[in-house]
Amino acid sequence: MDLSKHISDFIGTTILPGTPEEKILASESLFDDGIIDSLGLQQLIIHLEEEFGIFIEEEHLIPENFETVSGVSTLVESLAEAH
Amino acid sequence: MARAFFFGDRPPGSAHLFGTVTHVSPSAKPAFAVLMCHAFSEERQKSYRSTYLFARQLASVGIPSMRFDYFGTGDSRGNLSDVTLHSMTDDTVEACHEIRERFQVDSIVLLGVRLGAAVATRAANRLGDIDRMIFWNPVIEGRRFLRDLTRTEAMINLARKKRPSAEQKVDVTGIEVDADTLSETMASQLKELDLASETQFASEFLVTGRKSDKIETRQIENLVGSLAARDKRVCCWTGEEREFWSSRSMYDAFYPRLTFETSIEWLTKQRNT
Repeated sequence: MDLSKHISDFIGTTILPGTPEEKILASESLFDDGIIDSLGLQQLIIHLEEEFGIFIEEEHLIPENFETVSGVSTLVESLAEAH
Repeated sequence: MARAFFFGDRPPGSAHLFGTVTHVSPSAKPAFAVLMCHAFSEERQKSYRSTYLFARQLASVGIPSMRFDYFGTGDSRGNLSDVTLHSMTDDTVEACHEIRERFQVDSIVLLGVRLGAAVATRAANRLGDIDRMIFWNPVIEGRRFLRDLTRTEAMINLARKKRPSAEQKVDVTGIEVDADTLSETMASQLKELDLASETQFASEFLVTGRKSDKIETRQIENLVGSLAARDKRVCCWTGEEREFWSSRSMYDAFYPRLTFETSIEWLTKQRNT
């Protein structure tokens, strides 16, 4: 499965419906670009935990892990490997 | 009729806990009474109205009940920073003595809402004479519950791309929750909590949960499985019902009708057996 595509699909269908996939994948800051706010972040975290059986600790909630789709993918991969 | 009062004896005569009993008709001879163990923190505030309405429903079918606030929460004395799972268990044991004395019943059913399920479990284990328990959407994995309690602020900061300031990092001796401080002891007790592996003295259980959340549903299934594996009689109900413990306002008119109906039905059966 392409993890980045899965994440961008979720953002584009659930968090900010209608946002083009290219815009989400190209974004250098999902926050600055207005694609994700704190509520959207909560939705994303719950979805990732349920979908991948991972547990995202408070210490993981740093910009490097959530500012871009690739940052989110890297975090999910590392947590899924450790799980 | 409901009546509020202070009770508790730690230290002796301190009356440090706030409780409310809901009576039934004086001519009724109740077979048992229900002690409700509240949820914790914001969840307690948001589910408060539901427990009040449930007490009224219980009274309408002849079952007396009592609600109370743990030390350091609600209208009881003390501060949140003094609260631990041990202190909540102590309070519940005291409340069990109080409800027995007030209603002159031999048998009590403990109803634990969210974290109250773990507290009720530990109180029942300590007392050794509680046979029946109800868990409403129990907190099963304490680590996840603690994280959810504390991460809201972290997510807001993250969405603003803010890191905790130096000022926020200095002199932290507890964990900020709802503009109050949770002790490190409570935090570490929560991290270790796993309701599915706790010893359970009681033999009859009603467990309710929501169907819509995958993690929560899996956890409920695990809990029910672990109870059944220990030869407990378990009735489990999961349904599509909103989270009454996290509704946006404590004045929200919503209450968990299906959870109420299931619980009343189960309690009525218990009374008749």
